[in-house]
Amino acid sequence: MILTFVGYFLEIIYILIILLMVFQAVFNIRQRLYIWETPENAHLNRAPSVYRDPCLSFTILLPAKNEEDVYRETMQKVYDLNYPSELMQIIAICREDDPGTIAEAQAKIDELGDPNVQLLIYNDYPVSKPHGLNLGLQVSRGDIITIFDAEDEPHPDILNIINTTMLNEDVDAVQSGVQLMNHNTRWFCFLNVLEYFFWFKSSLHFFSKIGMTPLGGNTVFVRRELMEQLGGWDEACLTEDADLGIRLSLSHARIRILYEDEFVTREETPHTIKQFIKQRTRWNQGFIQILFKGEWLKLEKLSQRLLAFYVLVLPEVQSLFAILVPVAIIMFFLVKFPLWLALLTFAPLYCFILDIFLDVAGLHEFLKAHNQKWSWHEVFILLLAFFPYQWLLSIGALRAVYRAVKGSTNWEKTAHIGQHRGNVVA
Amino acid sequence: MTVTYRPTEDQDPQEPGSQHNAGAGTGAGPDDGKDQPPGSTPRLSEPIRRKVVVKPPVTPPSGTSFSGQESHGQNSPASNQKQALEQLPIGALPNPAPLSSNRAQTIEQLRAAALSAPPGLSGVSRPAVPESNWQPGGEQTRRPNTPAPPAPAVSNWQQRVEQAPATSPAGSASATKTREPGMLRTAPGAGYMAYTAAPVETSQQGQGQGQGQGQRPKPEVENGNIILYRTHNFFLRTSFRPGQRQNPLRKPTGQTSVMPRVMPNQGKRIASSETRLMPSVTVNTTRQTRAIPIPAWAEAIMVVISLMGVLVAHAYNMFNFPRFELDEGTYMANAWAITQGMLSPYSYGYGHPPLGWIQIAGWLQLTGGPFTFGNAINSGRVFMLFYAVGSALLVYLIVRRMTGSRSAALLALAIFSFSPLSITYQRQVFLDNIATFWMLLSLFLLVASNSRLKYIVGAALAFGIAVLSKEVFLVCLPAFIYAAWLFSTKFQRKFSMVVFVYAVIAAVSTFILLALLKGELFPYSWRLPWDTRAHLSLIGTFIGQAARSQSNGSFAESWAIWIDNDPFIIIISLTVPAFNLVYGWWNRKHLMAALLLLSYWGLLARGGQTLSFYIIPIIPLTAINVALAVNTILTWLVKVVRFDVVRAVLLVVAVAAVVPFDIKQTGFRFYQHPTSAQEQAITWIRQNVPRDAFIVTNSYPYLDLRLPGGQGVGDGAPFLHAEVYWSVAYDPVLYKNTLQNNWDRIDYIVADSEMLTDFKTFPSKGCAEDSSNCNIINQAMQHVVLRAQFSADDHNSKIITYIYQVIHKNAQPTVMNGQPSGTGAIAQISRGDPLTANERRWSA
Repeated sequence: MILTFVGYFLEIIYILIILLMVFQAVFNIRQRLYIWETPENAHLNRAPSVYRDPCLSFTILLPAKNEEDVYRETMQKVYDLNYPSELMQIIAICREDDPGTIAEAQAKIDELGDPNVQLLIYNDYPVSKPHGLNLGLQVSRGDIITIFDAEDEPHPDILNIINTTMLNEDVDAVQSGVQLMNHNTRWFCFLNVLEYFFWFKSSLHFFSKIGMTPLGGNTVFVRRELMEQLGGWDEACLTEDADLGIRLSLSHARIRILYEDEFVTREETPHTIKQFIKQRTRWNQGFIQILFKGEWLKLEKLSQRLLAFYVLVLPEVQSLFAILVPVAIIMFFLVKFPLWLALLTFAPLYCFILDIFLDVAGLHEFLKAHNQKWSWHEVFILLLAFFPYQWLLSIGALRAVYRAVKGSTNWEKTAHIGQHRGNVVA
Repeated sequence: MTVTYRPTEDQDPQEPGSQHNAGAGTGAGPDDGKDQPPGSTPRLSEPIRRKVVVKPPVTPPSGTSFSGQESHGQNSPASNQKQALEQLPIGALPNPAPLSSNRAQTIEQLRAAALSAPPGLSGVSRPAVPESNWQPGGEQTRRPNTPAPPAPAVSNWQQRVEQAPATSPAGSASATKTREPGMLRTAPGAGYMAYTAAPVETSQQGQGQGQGQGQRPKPEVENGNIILYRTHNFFLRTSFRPGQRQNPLRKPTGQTSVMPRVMPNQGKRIASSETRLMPSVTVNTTRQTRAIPIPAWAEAIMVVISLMGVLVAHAYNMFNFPRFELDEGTYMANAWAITQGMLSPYSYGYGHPPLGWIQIAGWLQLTGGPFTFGNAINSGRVFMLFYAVGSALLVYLIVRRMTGSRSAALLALAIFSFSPLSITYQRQVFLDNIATFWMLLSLFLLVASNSRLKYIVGAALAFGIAVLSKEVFLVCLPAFIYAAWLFSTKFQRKFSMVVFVYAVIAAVSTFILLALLKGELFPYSWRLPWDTRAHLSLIGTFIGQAARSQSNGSFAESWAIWIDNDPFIIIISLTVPAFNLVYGWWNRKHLMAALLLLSYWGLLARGGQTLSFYIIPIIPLTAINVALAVNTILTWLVKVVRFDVVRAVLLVVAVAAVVPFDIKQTGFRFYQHPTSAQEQAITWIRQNVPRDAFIVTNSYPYLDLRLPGGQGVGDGAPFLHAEVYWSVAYDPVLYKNTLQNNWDRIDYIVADSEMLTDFKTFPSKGCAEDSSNCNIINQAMQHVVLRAQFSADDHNSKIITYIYQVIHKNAQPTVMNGQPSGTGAIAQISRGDPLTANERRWSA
């Protein structure tokens, strides 16, 4: 009697989990395909093709830590943006204990000899990107604040585009596309690149429609007054970008997402699995921080809160699902399910496979947009990498939970070597 | 190439950081010191423009010499600085006390200028800066010890600067390491730190204030770099060149005619902007023809009236004509089995996917059992009425969307729904009717999608249901993929194709998954290691069907029936697609319609078994094709006549011609009643046959004999041993276990001419297990007497049902070797092997 009751209970739990998995997968697919849902959505990502005269001034923050390899080139690329240098304040942000990067930055500053290219060095704690950004914000003078990471390669016209967009449309913040470019250097790069591709091209628009937009870490352009009103970045947070996005949403800022393939900021994937997991850990842990900070609870609509909650706990939920897959398989063989339940068990698998096909389609779209060669060989690797990639994500999520429980909140820096510029992994 | 600049709008051209400065410029320095914690943003107001008139750097630029200590300037030699910074960039010094009177004058002028500026401008953002983010931890506590600045900012600057050279190394060490850098600075002037704050900040704290007033601060220049701003925890510096323009972030005046460096390629960009990769989002939809304005409600009334007509045409005499077919009984029995938790009353043989009769099962649940409308098949026929009317509506809507013409849509509806073939076959409980509806729904969703992904997904699922209702509809998949390609924009096409194709295949694959989960995918005859018992299998059935001969219905036989019923539609069904195929070169929608129809014709003509009702999906597709083609031709005519009403009138005339013609053709279908012969047979059984008799029947009376309340049961007990002849012949559970391969255990055979023909096709050898069973019915037929016979007119022949009784060789044959169930539920009838019966349940 009790045994049957327990059996029923377990069965209901099992069904609920399966339904949750299906819901999550379908929701995820919906998010990834949002931009392709209707033809009208095509215009959401449109960048202006005719630029207005430069009017807004920009402060470009370039926080860096241990970026000797790429920093100098990045500074040059930022300096070379098609915009009057009189309207660009470029602030390289380093900490004093990083003489290598400082030297690189200094050398570039000396070379450029432009007073608008500036170097900010700080010596206090916390040692984190948001802290550096906050200090940078104190001395920034531009109308618009923006961030580029140390390995970024922004499009030369990006400032013209933002200038035009900000002038034409009444927006407070613009998130322009960020795209990892080295899709084929390592096996996990394909999916990592595609993740960015779908996230910036499509998901962010979906979030923006709901009114809860976790922004990306760079190429985000915010009006300086707004940034100051918000009080800068959250220095304790490991993902200050997502936190900023939620706070911008809270303050009803008008956020424009703009992903035109041509104008994306080019980045590179982490170049080792270790780096990759570290990066994921940091992101996930940052999300956990934001979750417990609870600001998202102040969002107005239930849909916004639910979406915020979904986004923040998603990595952990996904890792839970990844753990449950073997459990489901064992259950499937050990327990004799009724036929309909056995069929239902396969529903998440169907969604996973659709995910794979969408990834392949995304890869094709990505390669076409960036004029790269399509290769079936790469598709094959992508297929093989799909599930291991999910496991990597799970490891990142579990590690984040572990670190969050343990209380270690130090900033695990992702190393950059410039793979997207054709550098080879040493 | 002249570019003039004007100051930024929100603020005067101030130095970086000056936006935080409200009070200093207005002489409210002391207050500011109180308002704002010392560590907060420095406030500056005056600086307008840096004019650097400084000597070149004394030491060569060197970035590597940088260190934490240096960053605090405590080690920099005073002499060096003095040398380098004899003259300051003015802009870099917000509130500098001039070293020389000359300089002081300048600064004073600048201050005055700043004061005269609107006060609101520079203070805008100030209150917004929250303390928490700007103020290092130790500051607040130290504040009480900090005397308020006694004098305006200028004097503070002077104080601090004077103390520059005196630096304590200990302080610097702690500055680099301590977490509380605020310890190092208690000076009142701390809050006024600004660009080019002297590197002496810390020393000032140690030595107190009030000394050395009148000295101007020394801007920190080293190695060609100037410190623009410094506080306890960070500083900002940039390169420093003599004579460089020192007012960054200026803005163009708006009178700029040319943009020298800024927009080098604007002209080129404008020229090429047309050719840039723009998303192609042209939707493939047809506009409504606007020549004849008909309000929506009028159209709705017209459609409703048409559908009422369709309903009447299909419903009238529905229970009497056509005769009950074998398949109808099978599907009703299957549907009833679904309500009992099984896929079919006998072993499920994977002949068709179960979704069709799952839908019927839903109908049975909804209407309260199979006998709500008389016998079981009547109930199914009522259900088919909905599919028929729904399909008619969908045909109308599809054509309306594809041509934009309402009259053409009406023509399609008329051709489809009033065809004698439709009126015959769409009344019957066929999976094709169900699948046709879903296929049309899928097509409609594609056509009406406006390239919305939701519609395309819906279309894929609808098509998946169609295929899961009747598997042969899979033959339309290529044409449907083409349709999905056609009706999505280029921008979305890649993803909509992936989603569409995947959703269809995923839906269809559940059928295979079902077989896999039941362990019945692979035929038992392959002797796979895990196969321990005999079972039917998906692949086995598929192979069997592929190899099926035309004995049950060849294309030629069916063709004769179709031509006999409705030659008109058969002829146009073959000719019009040819037109559409050719015209499809110019209008792809025509090509798509033609491909749909031809792919189904291809299936029928391939040479396999073709039953006459396979024509069902061809009828709506023909109607769509005809309407498209006729409308196109009439549009050409309109180009000559230049009067679009002519087109509409001609189409309505065509409708007016088609409907009476079809009704006339239909004729006997409205008054013949072949089912009466079949119902009489059922009634005879009810009255004359003992309830424990083993009856071999066609499948149409199956439910009515087996279930309490059925037409063949009445108020008595159900016939527990009424079995369908195909199963008796082929199901080992029946012929082996129940009948023990003994024809003598059969009591009655209820046959019609169709069955008698089928008996002859039963193989006498080479069938399933051993040859002896194959003939079990035929063997019994050797020993029968005809007990009753009923006949009725059916089309231009007669339907005759015969009831034979087997004359037993041995008295009292024992049929009931199993446990007969009291309730009569099929699921509970043992066929000798209870395990098998159990396994046939829904369990995997």
